Amino acid sequence: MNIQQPHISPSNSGDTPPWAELVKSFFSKGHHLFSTLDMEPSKIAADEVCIFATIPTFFSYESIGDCAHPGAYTIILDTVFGFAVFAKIQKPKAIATINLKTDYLRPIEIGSKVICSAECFSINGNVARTRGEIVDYDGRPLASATGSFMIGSGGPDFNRVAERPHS
Amino acid sequence: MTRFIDSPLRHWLSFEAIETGDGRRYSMMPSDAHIGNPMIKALHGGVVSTFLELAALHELKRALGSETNGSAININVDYLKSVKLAPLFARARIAKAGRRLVFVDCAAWQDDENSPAAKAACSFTLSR
Repeated sequence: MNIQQPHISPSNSGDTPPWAELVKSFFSKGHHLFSTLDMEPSKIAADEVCIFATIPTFFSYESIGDCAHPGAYTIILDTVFGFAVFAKIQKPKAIATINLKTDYLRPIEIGSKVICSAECFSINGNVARTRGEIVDYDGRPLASATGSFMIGSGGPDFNRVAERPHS
Repeated sequence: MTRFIDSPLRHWLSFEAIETGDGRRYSMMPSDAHIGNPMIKALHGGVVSTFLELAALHELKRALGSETNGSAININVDYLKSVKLAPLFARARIAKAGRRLVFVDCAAWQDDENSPAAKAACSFTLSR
């Protein structure tokens, strides 16, 4: 996986398109969950989305010591998969997760920083399919997953998010 | 109502369990901290997955003893409909409990138990 310094590379056109603005808006302080996970984009391109994140303290769970509950992985993966779909279709449309299958490969300690990379590798009709993984800063795999998403899920159009003033 | 021993994750989810006549029902109380899509105030899919897996783990301990520790191998979640900012409930069922592996099925709902919002299949390795 190619770990890069934070930058947005949505296209070769030079102008940042609305879908990339939408993705960036999600990382503002306005989104409670993403802010808590300290999510920061490293790469946002049609072929790959890469995000830095930190495992928050509230994912500690008494039966597994200092390690986080693996649900933290599913939150990060579902989020980055959604952005990978936006990046692929290059439109800020409403999407909804249909299925998420996650394999837990290695536990992670609370407070650790991780890197999640994902791609949307197939769009068939209204269904997008994604795959991705989470690794630690030493490149060791922590979790891998596949997901499927409904595009145009019937919810409000995400263009409204881009039109709203960012908090 | 039974309140589990406190832990940061249970507190964050407001996770609770109640014994009913036909088993144990798990619940979480969503808040703004759990929202994935702010446009429709729908819960984040990963939060739903975390809730289902926590319910599955507690069902595992309920069935096999609280001293049993299950370490999750994987989870497969189907999202059947949008989960609103309202109480979310779940029931879990041990599909198969072996010496080293346990498979747990779990379903979550909001308004009607017969109309689930999500379902999950979780597998665990055991350590006693």
